[in-house]
Amino acid sequence: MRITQKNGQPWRIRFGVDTFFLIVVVLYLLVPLGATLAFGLSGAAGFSFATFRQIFSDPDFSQTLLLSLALSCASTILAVVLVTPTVYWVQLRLPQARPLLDFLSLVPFAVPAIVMSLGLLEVYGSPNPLLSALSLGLVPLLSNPPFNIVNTPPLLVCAYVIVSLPFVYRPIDTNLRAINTRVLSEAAASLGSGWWKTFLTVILPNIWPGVTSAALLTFSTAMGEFTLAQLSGIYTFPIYLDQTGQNDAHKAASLSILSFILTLICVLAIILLVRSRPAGQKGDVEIAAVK
Amino acid sequence: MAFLELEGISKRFGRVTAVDTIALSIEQGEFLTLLGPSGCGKTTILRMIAGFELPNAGTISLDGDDITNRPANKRPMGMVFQSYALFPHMTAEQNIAFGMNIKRQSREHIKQRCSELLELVGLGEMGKRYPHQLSGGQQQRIALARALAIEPKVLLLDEPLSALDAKVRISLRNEIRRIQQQLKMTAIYVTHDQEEALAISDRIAVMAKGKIEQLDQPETIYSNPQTVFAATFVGTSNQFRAVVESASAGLCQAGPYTLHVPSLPHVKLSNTQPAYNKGDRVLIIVRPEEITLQPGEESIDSSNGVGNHITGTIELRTFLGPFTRFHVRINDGQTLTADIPSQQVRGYETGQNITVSFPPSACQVLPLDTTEAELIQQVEAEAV
Amino acid sequence: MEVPAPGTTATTKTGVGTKNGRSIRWSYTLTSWLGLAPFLVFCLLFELLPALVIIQSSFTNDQGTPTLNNYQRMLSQPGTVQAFQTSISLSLVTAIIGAIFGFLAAYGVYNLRISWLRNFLIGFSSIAANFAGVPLAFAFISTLGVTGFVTVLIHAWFHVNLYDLGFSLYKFWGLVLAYVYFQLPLMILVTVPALNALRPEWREAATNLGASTFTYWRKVALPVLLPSILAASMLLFANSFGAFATAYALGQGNINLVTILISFVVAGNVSVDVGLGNALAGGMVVVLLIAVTLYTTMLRRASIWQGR
Repeated sequence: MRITQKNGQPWRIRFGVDTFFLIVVVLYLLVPLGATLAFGLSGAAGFSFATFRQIFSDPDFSQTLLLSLALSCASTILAVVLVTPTVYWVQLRLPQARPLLDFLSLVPFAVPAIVMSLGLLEVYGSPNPLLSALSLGLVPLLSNPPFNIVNTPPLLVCAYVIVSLPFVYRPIDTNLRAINTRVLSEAAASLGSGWWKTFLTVILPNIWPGVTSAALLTFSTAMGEFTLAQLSGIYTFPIYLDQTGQNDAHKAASLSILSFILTLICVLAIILLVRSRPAGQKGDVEIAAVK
Repeated sequence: MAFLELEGISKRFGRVTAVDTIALSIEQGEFLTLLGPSGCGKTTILRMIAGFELPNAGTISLDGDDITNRPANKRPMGMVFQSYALFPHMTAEQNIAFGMNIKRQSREHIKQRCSELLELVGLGEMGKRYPHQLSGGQQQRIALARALAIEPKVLLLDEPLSALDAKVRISLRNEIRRIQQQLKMTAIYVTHDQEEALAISDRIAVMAKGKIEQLDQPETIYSNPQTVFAATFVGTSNQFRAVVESASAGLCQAGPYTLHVPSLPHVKLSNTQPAYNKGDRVLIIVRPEEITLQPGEESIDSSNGVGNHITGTIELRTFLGPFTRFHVRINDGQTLTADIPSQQVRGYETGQNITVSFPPSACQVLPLDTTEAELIQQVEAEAV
Repeated sequence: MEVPAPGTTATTKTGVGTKNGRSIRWSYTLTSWLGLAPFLVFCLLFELLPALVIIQSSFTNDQGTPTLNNYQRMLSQPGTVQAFQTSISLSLVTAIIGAIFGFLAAYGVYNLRISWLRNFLIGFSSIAANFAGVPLAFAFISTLGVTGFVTVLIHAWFHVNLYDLGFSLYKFWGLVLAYVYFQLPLMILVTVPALNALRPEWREAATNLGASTFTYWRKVALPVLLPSILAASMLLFANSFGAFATAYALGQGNINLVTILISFVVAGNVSVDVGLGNALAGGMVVVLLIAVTLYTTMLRRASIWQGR
C-alpha cells in the first residue's frame, strides 16, 4: 500500500472505504469455503480424508461425472459451433437482425431453467396441433420415434445450450465488435477469400478470447446445472452430489469442495488460454455465469 | 517576479526523467506554448502546474503565492483537455455551471454567466444539448467555456485541437487566441504541432527530452534557432552537415560543396553564442522559401556577390496552393526542398536539370555534436 | 464473397434495369436470412416454443378451452401469492445487498494497482459466481447449518446458539446469506468493466473546477455510473428470482418460493396442478420481463452517455 502524497490531499487514498469493503467481501467468500473444507475433512474420527476416499470409490461418482463431462462437452461444442458463425454472419450480412439476436440471448433470463423445464415437458410431452404447425412439423418429429428426444440426454444438451446462450453470445459479440470485423472481412474478400475461409482463418483466430470464454462458461454451467437434469430424471453429477449430500453432510461438504475445484480449473483455463493468445488482445473477458 | 514562475522543476517516473530542472517565467496575459514531440515532458509540466502531478523538486508560484503543494481543486486554473472531458450526463449549460455551482454562486449569476460564455464561444443556442449531441469542435468550445466560467488566473490547454478535423482545428485555434486576447488571460498551451504553435503564441518553449531547447518569440525561433533540435523541429529545413574551413570568411565544406555562410565569430561573445574554429563540425540550415531555382547548369556569375549554387535534378514537384514545393536531388545524393511561390514557377518539370541558389544570409549555422546528430535522426525518423 | 456497405443490404449491378436489380437484392436478402436459419430453428425449438406453450397453456384448462381460471386461482390462493411475495422480496433484498457491497468491493478491485492481485480477485469472483447451486447449499450447511463449522464456533466462543435465537439457514434470511454469496461476485464482475467507462479526465476536470472527492462522486461519477449499477441490479434480481437449485437443496421444499412450486408440477407432485403451474410460470416470466426490460434500457442509456 503506497502512502498518500505529502500534500495531504486524498487524491488517491490507498487504504480507504473501498479497500475495506473489498476485504469484507473477500472474507465473506472465503469463510464458507474454509468451513466446508474443514467440515469435509472432519468426520466421526477427527480430521481425515475418509470422506474423499469414500467418494472416489463410489461407482456412481465416476459414472455420473463421466456423464456430466460428456454432456458438457457436447453442449459446449454445439453452443460454439452454432452461435459463433451465426453472430459473424449477422454482423456482416444481416445487421438488421442484431436486435433479434439480442432479444434471443436475453430470453433465457426471462425464462429460467425451471420455467424452461416445464415448457420442454409440455412441448415434447403431449401433442399440440398449434405447436406442430408453428414448429414446421419438427416438434412431432422430435417427440416420437425414431427421433424421440423426450427426457433424453440430447434434449438436455440442447437445453443447456439455451441456458448458456447469454454467456455465449455476449463474449463473442463483444469480441467481434472489438476487432473491426467488417474491415478485416473486406480485406480478405479483396484478396479472394470466401466466407468460410475468412471465418476460419481470419476471424476465428482473432476472437479466440471470446470463443474461449463462451466455451468455458458453457462448460461450467452445464457441469453444475441441476434443475433441468433433476426434472428430466437424468442422473448427472450434480444430481449425484445432491443425493449423496442429503444423506451424509460430511460427504456433502467434500463433494462441494470437489465441485469448487472443478470450477476453479475451468476458470483458470479461461484465464490461461486467453492470456496465451498473442498480438495485442486485451484480456478483458467476460467470466461470469449466473445460475 | 513573473506572474507564473516555475523554478528547478523536475519530475521522474520510476527511472525515467520526464522533466529535467525546468525554469519558466510567464507574464500575465501571455500566451505561452510548450512545443515538442511526444515524450518531451510538455504535458507533464502542464499537469504539474494544474496539480495533477507533484514535482520531485522545484517550486511553482502564482502571483507571488507558492502553490507547489496546493491540491488541484484549490488552484485557480482552468484546464481544457484533449478529449474534451465533458460530463456526459449533463447538458452543455450544466457543464459550464459546474464550477460555479461548487463555489455556490447565486443562480441568477450562474445563469447570466452561462449565456455570456456560450455567446463568447459562439454556441448561444446549444446550451440545452448533451455532449453526445454535439460535434467535436462544439464540445471543445463548451469545455473552454466551462474552464473560463470559474474565472481562472491561468488557462491550461492540453493539446486541445488534436482530436479535431483539420479545418476545425484552424478556426478553433484562432477562436482560442481571440478569446484569450479579449480576456487578457494568461494561457499555457501544449502541442506537438509546430504550425499551430507559430500561429497563436506570444512565446514558444521548444522542448525535447525533458529540457527546454529554446524559449523565444515564434519569429525568433524560426529565423534564429539556437539549437539543432529547435532548427529542425520547427518548420521545414534543408540541412548540410559541414566542417568549418574559415570562420571569419564564412566558408564551410559540406561534402563536395563549399558553402558561403555569414561570418562566424572566433570568440564566444555571450552564453548563447558559440565560437567557431577551423575544423569544427557544424549544421547549416536553409529554409525552403529562401531558395531560388534557375534552369539548367549555367554557372551564375558572382556579380550579385557571393552566393551558393548547387546543381541538381528535379525529383518531385508538389503543388501546395500558394506555393509549389520542389524536391531537388543534388549530386551527392541529398535532396533539397525549395518552396517557390506558385505564380513565379516557370514550368520546371520533373527530371529537369536545375540550379539551386541561396544567399549566405539564408544560412543558419549551428555547432553540431554527436548527440545532436542523433536528435536530428530521431526527428527525421519520426517524421516518416 | 459479398460484403455489403454498412446500412445497405445488397449491391445492385449498375446498368441493369430495376426489375433485375430488385430480384438480385431479394435473393441476397433471402440467402442472408437462410444463413440465420439453423440458429433460429434451434432457438425456436428449445427456447421460444417452450415459452409460448407455457403462456398458451396458462390460459387454457384441462379440456383445452381458454380460461383465466388458472390465474384467478393463482392470485387467490394464499400459498401462491405468498410464494411470489417471498421470491420477490428475497430477490430484491439480495439484489440490493449484492449491488451495494458488490459495487464498493468492485471499486476496491478497480483501484488496485497490484495487477496480479486484481486478476486473481476477478478470477476468484468468477469462480464464486459460478459456485451457485447444490454445492453452495452444502457449503453453507457446512458453515451455518445446525452443526455447521461457524455455528459451532460461535457457540464455543460466544456461548450463543444461533438457532436458539431464531436464526435458521433454511428460512428466509439463511437463504439471503446463501444467495448473496453468488450475487456479490457477480456484481463485482459486471461492475469492474463498467468502472472502466469512468474516464480519468472527468475526475481531473471536476477537480480542476474545484470539486472535492465527495462532490465528484456525488455529481459526476455516481450519476454516470447509475445506469450501469441499475442494470447490474436487475441482473442480480433476475438471477435470484430464477434460482432453483440452491433453494431446493437448502429448503427441500420447506420454503415457499415460486421456483419450488413450479418444480412440484414438473415432478408430478399433486399438490400443484398443471394449470396452476403454468400460471405460476407465466407470472414468473412477467416479473422477469420487467426486470430484463429495465436492464436493457439502463444499458442503452449507459452506452449513449459513454459514447460507445
